[in-house]
This record gives sequence, structure tokens and C-alpha cells, in this order.
Amino acid sequence: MMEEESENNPSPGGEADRVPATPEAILALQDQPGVRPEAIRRALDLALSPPAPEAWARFLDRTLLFLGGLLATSGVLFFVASNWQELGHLARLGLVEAAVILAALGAWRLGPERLAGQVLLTVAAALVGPLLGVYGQIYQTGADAWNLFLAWSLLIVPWVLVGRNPVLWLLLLGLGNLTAWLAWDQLAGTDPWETASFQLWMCAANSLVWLAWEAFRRRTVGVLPCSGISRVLAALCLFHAALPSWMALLDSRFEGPWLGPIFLAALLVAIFRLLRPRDPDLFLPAAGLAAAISVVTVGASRVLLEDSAAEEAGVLLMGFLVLAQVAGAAAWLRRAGRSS
Amino acid sequence: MRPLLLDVLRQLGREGLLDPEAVSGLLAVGNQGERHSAPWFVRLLVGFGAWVASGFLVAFLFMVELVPEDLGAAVFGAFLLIGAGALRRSSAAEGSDFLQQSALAGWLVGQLMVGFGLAEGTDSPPLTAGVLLLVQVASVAFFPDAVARFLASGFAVASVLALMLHWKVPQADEVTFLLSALGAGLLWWHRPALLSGRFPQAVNPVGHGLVFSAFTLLALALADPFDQHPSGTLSSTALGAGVLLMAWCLLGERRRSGPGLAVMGFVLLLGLATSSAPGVMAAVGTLVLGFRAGERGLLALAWSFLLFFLAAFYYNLEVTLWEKSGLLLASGALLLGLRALLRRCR
Repeated sequence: MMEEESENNPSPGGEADRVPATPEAILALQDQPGVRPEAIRRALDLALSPPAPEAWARFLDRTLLFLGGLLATSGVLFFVASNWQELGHLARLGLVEAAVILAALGAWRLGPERLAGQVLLTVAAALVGPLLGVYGQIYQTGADAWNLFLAWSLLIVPWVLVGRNPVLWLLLLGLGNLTAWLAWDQLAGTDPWETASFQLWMCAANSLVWLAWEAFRRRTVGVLPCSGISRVLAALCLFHAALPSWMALLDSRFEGPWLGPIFLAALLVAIFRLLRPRDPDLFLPAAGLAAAISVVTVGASRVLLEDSAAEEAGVLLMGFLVLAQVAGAAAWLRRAGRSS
Repeated sequence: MRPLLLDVLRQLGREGLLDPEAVSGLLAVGNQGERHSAPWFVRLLVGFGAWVASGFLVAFLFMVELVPEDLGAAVFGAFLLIGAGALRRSSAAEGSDFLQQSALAGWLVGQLMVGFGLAEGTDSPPLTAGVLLLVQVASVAFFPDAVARFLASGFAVASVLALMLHWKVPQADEVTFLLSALGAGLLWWHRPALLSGRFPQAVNPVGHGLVFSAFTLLALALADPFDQHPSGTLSSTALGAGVLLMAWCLLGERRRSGPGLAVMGFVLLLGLATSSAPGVMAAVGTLVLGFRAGERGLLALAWSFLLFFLAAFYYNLEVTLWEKSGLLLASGALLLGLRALLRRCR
């Protein structure tokens, strides 16, 4: 009934009128003049009334589809695994290939507009990796792990573009990053966790992907549905900028100690000056602030705790420094949330 | 998932509970109230920062030997708790994030001091756990901070577990889990009424805290750190009964229809099949509560733990790979079959 009310009597108030009736919004009305306690109780009953039977039916439908698909797929994988030794080469390859083809055909038949179609397309993309693994095992191609992940990433790109499914985009992003990590480990021979230059290269590469994502997303409404991908990309870039910063601050052996903070500063400028005015999502500034706080805290601990004669005072100052930074970040984020 | 605030206010106007002329003004106030509530990642940042800061502050207190020994530390901690509570409730802290953070850090330090002082001074685990339990209850009631209330729920569950272990209650971790699950279930089921009660701001953080604590206990039980050797049967039976009761209430007059009976039958079968893995039924129950309450955070928590406990359940089955594959396929087919049946009956 209340949804019909919205449709029949649209209000010209704009964004404020689209505020959902959350408990926080209703409880804020408690001390307002003319608002009686029974009005608050009734408002909470209306706002928190259980979902309609149709909503329950949709919820059950999606939950059963997702879980049923997941369990059945796992069953197929276990079946293949249990008989693997007895299967011949062609049978192994044929089984996995058949699964990929059937899933892809099913997705094509149902279409990406339907949830079942999306699930099948995701299953098909996920099975490409095992297919390549079986191929490499049978024909002893001698390919390294990073070759497999690279090939997997490239092969699923058309499906990712057609699918318009955030899970597929995240799969592609994960495979691309994993490829880079494994390739570095294999080819450069150094531990990627402890190599500042690798981390900064990853930061640059993921930043380019993020830039392309933001540009493409704004030009193609409805094709790329998930702002969560921006969050994942931002977290990746910030992590790859913060890690070499920590390393350089904690161990003077690391080269280019200022590169990490410079990358981090560039990312913060991009988040606050370029993205923030166009995107009200607070996660990006929150992640940026968290990364900046971590670097400042590690740097300050180096000065106050290791290089200082008055260690006790340093520990106390560190406590207040952390408090002040977090309080400042929280204050900015709350103000930004209220104004957006 | 929720109605709009505007529609709720208009409905109140139609029912004579509000002056219709006041709706636009109240809408602005409600909008501000909604924006005041911080998203989960801001609360995570705040909570983590408070932990780190309190760690430094505790380290300082010990380094300069400001902390009295034994019971003196507990008294010192009690004063810190009272001071932190007073600071947090003050009007100065309302507009100052720094003071709010300081109060939260002080609260954490106070807890540590009270626990440390009592443990050292009395050498009595039940007294220490009992006092800390009372501190958590008082914190939920009188410390108006969502992060603190969330943490207090977890600390309360830990205190109850400590008491149960000390008193050698059989299956102590399972009993503690059931108590926290019961508390969480009742809270989320009766949330609208509780939000109209004495401590409305405490409902959500405590609800999330109890659910998170319950799942943590279940996950810990897999490793059995307390040598309790839980079978899971008690929990599964209680949880199965709870979810059946929820389904019974939610189905209403549809409970005797074909789809209603199919759903009830499925819940019963799930409970029996996963009787050794109460985490699965707990996650299913949380999914239902989360969807009913329209709480995305609760749904995310439920999905994460459902996948974790399902994986653990199948992994721990003492059968061959071949048999596991059959069970998985059969389970998947059952769920998809139930979905097809429900769609046909719509």
C-alpha cells in the first residue's frame, strides 16, 4: 500500500524523499514537538513490517537456485575427482569441456537477463580454469601456473563483457592480479610481498584498470552494474601503495622509500578531488583515509618508539596520535555523509 | 527492501498520529538521523582505531608503573570505565569525534584493567567473569556507542563461556552458543517492540554482536579448543526447532498449503541431515531473520557463515569422494527440485 502511495503522489522534494524508513531515521524523530511515543511505535511497526509473501517467494527462489547450483556443481567436481585416476585422457578433457559447453549453451539459451543465465555463465567461466589445467596435465605443455591464469583471464573476457555480471568482473580482476603475482614470483625470482617495485607496478596497473572502469562505467549506463567493483579496485590500489610505504618506513634497506607515499598521495588526490564530487560512496574516502592513517602511524612509531630516548612518552603520544587521526577521519566521513 | 520515510509519515498523518503539515519538517529531521548513522566500514575504522589506541595507552600505563597491583588495577579500571561513560554521555562528546574516540579507548582500557586486576587480585575466575559480565550489561545500557555495545555483547558471551567452563557445565561451549543464539533470535524477532523500548539505540549493535559471537563460537567448536568434544546434536535440535517455529509463524495461514508443507518438510530434513553441523541451521536461521528484518549486514554475515559451514560439513563427512559427490548432487537436486515445485505452485 505504501509503495502505491509513492507512485500516486510523487513528491517534488527529490533525494530527501527517497530516504528509507530505517530505525535510525525514525528514532531521530522521538524528541520532535508534536511527535508522540505511539506515533514512533506505529512508525516502527510500519517500517519494520515483515516482507510481503511475494518478496519471500523471490528470496526463497534465489536462495534455492544459488545453493542448489553450488551444491550440484560441487557434486560434479567431486564426481570427476573421485574417478579421475580411472579416466582416460580424452574422457577427462571431454568431461570438463562438456561441462563448459553445456553451461555456456544454457546461459545463451536463458540469456543474461535471467538470474539462472547469469549463474550458468559464471559456472562456465569458472570451469575454463580447470579445463586448461586438465589440458596442461594431459599434454604436458610445461606451462607455468601464471601462464594458465593468463590464458584463463583472456579466454573469459568476451563472456565478462557480455555477461554484465559483477561476479564475472571480480573473477577477471582476481585472475589478472593472481597472474601478475605468480609471473613475478616465477620470472623475477624475488618474493613479491617484499619487493617494493612490484607492489608499485601493481598499484599502477590496478590504477589504470580503475581509471578505465570509472570512465567506461559512466558512459555506459546499465552495462556495468556494480559499484562494489570500484571498492575492490580502490582497496587493491591503496594496499599496493601502502605496503611498500610500510616496508620503506620499517626497513631502510628498501629502495625508493618515498615512492610508496607518493603513489598513495596521488591515489588520495584522485579519490577526494576527482571521484568524490561525482560519487557519494563513502567507502573510497574511508579506505583512503585508513591507508593514510596506517602509513602515518607506522612512520610515527619509527620516530617515536625506535629512535627516541623517551620511549614511554613516545608510546603515550602514539596512543593520542592514533585517536586524533581516527577521530578526524570519522568526523570528516560523517560530515561528508550528511552533506552528500 | 524498506518503505520510504515519507510514506510512513504520510500514513501516520492519515491515522491521526501526526499533523500532516509537519511531514516535510520531520522528513528533514529523519534524513539527518539516517545520515548520522555511520556505515559499517566507518564503524570498523573507528573500532579498530580505538583498539590500537587503547593498546598504546595500556602499554604506557604499565611502562610508567602507573597501574596499581592486583585489586588496585581493578579499582583504577572501574574509575576509567565511569569516566569514559561520563565523557561519552557529555554534551561535549556529541559534537566531537575525538572525545568519542577517547571515551571508547578509555572504555576498552578500563575493561582490561578491571579484568586484569580482578584476575590477579582474587585469583577467582568466576568472580572475574561475573564482574565483567555485569560491566558489559551496564555498558550496553549506559555507554551510548554502537561499537562499544557491539563489543560488549561479544565480551558478555565470552564471560558466560568462562563461567560455564569454570563450573564444568557439560558441553559448555555448546550451551553458551545456544544462549547467545537464543538471545539473538529473540532480539531480531522482536526488534520492532524493542526499538520502542528503553534502549532503542542498543538493539542493532547488540543484535549484530550476539550473532557474530554465536557464529564465532560455532567456528571455534570445529577446532575444539576447550576439549569439550561437542557433537552438535543439542545445538542442531534446538536450532532446527527454532527455525521450524519461525517458518510456522511466517507461513501463517499458508502453513497447510502444498508449498508451506514443502518448506516445513525441507527445514526438518535439513535439520536431520546436518545434525552434526549446527552451523548450517544457524546460518539458515540467520538468513531468515536477516531478510525478515531487512538487514543487509545480517544477510551478509549469514551467507558468509552458511558457505563456510556447508564447506566444513561436506569436508568432514567420513565417506569416499564418490559418496560425497553423490550427496552433493542429491542435495543440489533437492534444492533445485524444491525451487521448481514452489514456482509451479505460485
